[in-house]
Amino acid sequence: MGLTLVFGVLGIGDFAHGDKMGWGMFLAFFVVSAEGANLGFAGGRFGSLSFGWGLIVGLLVAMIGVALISVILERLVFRRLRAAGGGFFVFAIASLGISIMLRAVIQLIWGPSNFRYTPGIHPAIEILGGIKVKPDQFFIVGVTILAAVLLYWLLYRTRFGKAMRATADNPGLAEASGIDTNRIRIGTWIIAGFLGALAGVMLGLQAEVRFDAGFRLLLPLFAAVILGGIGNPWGALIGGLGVGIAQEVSTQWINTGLKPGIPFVIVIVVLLLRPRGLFGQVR
Amino acid sequence: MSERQPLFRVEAFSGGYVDGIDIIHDVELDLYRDEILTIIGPNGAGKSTLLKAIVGALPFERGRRSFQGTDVSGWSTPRMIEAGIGYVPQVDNVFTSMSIRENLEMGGYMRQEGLRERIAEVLAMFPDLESRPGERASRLSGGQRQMLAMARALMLDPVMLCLDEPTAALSPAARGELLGRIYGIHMSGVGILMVEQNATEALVWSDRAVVMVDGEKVLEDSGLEMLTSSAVGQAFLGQGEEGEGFALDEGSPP
Repeated sequence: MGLTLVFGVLGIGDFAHGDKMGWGMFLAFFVVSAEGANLGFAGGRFGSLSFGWGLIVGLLVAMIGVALISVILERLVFRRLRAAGGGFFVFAIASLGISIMLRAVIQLIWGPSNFRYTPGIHPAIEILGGIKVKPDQFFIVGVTILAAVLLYWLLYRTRFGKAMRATADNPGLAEASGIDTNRIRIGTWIIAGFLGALAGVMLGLQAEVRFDAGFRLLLPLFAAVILGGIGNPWGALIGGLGVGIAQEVSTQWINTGLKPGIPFVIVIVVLLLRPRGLFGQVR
Repeated sequence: MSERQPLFRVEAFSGGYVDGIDIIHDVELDLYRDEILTIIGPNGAGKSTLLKAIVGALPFERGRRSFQGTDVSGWSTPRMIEAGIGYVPQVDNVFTSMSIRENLEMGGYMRQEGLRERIAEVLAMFPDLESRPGERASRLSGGQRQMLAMARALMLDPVMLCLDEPTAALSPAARGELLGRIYGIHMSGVGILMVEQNATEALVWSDRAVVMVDGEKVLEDSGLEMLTSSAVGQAFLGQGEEGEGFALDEGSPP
């Protein structure tokens, strides 16, 4: 959702989004790990969930941190490139460089090992029809839906969100209407940063905390955005579900090792059959 | 009109998009609040460029622009719009992915208060739009889009409205309806400055008109005089013998 938002409003295909997720993941890890425990954050659990207040505080720290990183990068990199007349490819290549840099710094600080927010085994519980689900996964789904609803509310019900959509639609006319498009750009980076950090922490909760976890998700992420229709947050959510389900279900017929190739197939098929994606608008 | 203060005045104005290459040469222009002033002229005469200059969207300019007696040379477009000048560009003049109502909200972005009331007032001027405020702008016809673009520009209660070829690419029927609406807006107390290719139809509604050729103002007269003057008719309105002069409104019926 963050990726599609940045693309829709700012026209930037942000290859660093995956590594911003990585940063979110690790900022939260910093809070729940030993360093955080010394500060009095970690510990405690909510019911059968694997985490407690520590992770919630970690999530907030991650969101603020990633938003801050995004804003600094806008000021330091993208604003200058824009002023110099840079276009889509210039932004994309710059974000690729940023991606490598962000990942390298994570690796420098935390090393290449895998971590968990809460060590130990977290048993799954059985729900209807013998499907096994970890309690954490309910939390992840709930938070994702809440984020989507909040984003929808922001974009369609608030003055700032409508101005974001107006800027995405027609920047010249938006500026002539008195919308401060610079503020909109900063706001978009902040919101995308929140969403990226949220996704990173959820990913860390579901899988493992690893320096390149966000980056590895970048391709499925782009596939989800293209499938859903570039620039459409709902599309991104549905596209994400679609790509994820396709990847998992595919293992019924193909070798599990080929799973990472599924997003490629989806991207190619979507671009061939319906280039604007499921919910994209004709421009 | 000697004693009245003009709403907008352009003095000794020259300018263009690139430094050193002027498109407009030494133009003088006055617009009064109680009139519709139309700028006509052949393609490439600098009409739209002059309109852009008036709303502060031309990068390079010399001369003086004043609005209600205040020197506004060098003001940015948002500042001009906030001061009470509505501007409707010729193309890309609505947010196509947004609804009619949202377009109006964006038009009124700078309003501190009374947004809802103003939307209702503006919608009331355009029955076509009023009946379906939730419709997306991309679904509207060309004429309805132009109306939405004007409605958007009216959101800040401008005292002056600048229209860049509002009837371009419209059917004759839609052109007539749109010009009627423009007249209605004018009667509510808004000075209108428009650039038009469909010159004959526009002149019928205009109090005054200016002819521009090659970036210079070559003629200024009342709309009626322009329509009836055989020289103007032959040179600029495509009247008279076939092939004489250059026709401006090739698309309109004879």
